[in-house]
Amino acid sequence: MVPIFTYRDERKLFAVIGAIIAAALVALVQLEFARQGRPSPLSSAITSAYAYAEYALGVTLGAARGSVGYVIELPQLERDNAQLRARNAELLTQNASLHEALARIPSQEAVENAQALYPQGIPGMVVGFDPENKAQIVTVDKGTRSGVSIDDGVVNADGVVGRIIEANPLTSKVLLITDYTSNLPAIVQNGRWWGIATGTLTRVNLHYVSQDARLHVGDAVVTGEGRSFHAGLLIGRVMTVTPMPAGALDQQAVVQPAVAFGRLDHVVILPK
Amino acid sequence: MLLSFRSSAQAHAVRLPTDWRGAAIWLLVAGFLQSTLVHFIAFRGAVPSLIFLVVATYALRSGSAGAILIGTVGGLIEDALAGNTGAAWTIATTLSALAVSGAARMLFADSPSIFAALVVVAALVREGLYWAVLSLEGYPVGLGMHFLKIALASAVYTGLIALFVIYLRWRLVSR
Repeated sequence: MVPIFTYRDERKLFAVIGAIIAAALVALVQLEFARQGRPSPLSSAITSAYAYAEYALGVTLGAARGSVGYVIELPQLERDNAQLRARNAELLTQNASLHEALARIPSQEAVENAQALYPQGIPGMVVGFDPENKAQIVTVDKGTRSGVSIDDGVVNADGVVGRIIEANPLTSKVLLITDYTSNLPAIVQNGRWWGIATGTLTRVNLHYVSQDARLHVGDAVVTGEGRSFHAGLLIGRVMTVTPMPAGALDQQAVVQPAVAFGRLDHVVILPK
Repeated sequence: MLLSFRSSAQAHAVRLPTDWRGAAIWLLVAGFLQSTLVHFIAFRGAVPSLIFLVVATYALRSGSAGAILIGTVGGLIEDALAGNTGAAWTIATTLSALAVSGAARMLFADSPSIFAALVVVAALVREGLYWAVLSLEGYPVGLGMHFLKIALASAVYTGLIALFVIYLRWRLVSR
């Protein structure tokens, strides 16, 4: 039996080989840049292209959320206003200031508070999330063009959010403190006990605290002086203290993060 | 019932796009949705992979070369949007797309139930490959059990979305 040879088969084979070579080249470029700890040109190009779309959606969602909140609160505001008008001119002045305060979008207020706390910081908005939700990573709309660089700390008005792990021209990736791979030097404020704060997806685990430390529920846990943060920024509060097994050299505590990551929208990036 | 909502295989067969321009547009849209809105429908940490759904749909009807190319592009988009993953999604998605393309030659891919099952299995294979590549890149191996739970849930979630999309398309086409 003589095998049948056609040019069509050969073309198909070339197409497959070409596709394999192209795929391997892309993977090699990605791996090489990942090894160097830099974003690859391919990743940068894609994130830059997506940044505009993500930013537009983020702004739209923020505005929609603000509008809904405003509409819900409007009847209450009107009743308050009527009561205030019935009183005196001094209360009317207060009423006007209340209107001004309530008219603000809450998230804007939050970012203003954060900026007031960290005037040197770069305000940013969360525009994207990890596509497969495998890591606690978010994308913010500020990149190297705004002065963001790798390992910059990220905070909001409530406390520590995470640190920059990838900086592209228009966007950056923030590793949240709740990610499994996040490790931060931390100090229990009451007693100045050192430890390492590691993410547990929803909370933070404080490891390697000296067995002499007397930890209490509610103790504030703050950052230690490190690569991304100066000392003293609030990480969270001790929720439970894990009992020490016999022979343990250190103890652990579960920390409830100060930041509500479920509704994270505005952050401030702290340049090193 | 869910797995056989067709009364005649020919009339309600899954018709999948093979046009690469359409696939590219769907891939871009899926990437956009994946990084912005899909996060909000997470169930116990698991989210469906719309990008892989597009990749599998295209790979099922294209040859090996087409599967490799769309797998590479889909994976690249995921790596770019995820951060900290190196080439893990690129490699995993490319190989899974190739596997889907190969499986399509042996299976009756017109059936919605088989297509959904194929998506679930391929998504699991992809998650496994992703984890393997990530481990080689230095990710802590101790997190494997947690990752496995999310991977299983994500694969099933993606399969359910695949069934829903096919059902929706079938309803729209049959009107």
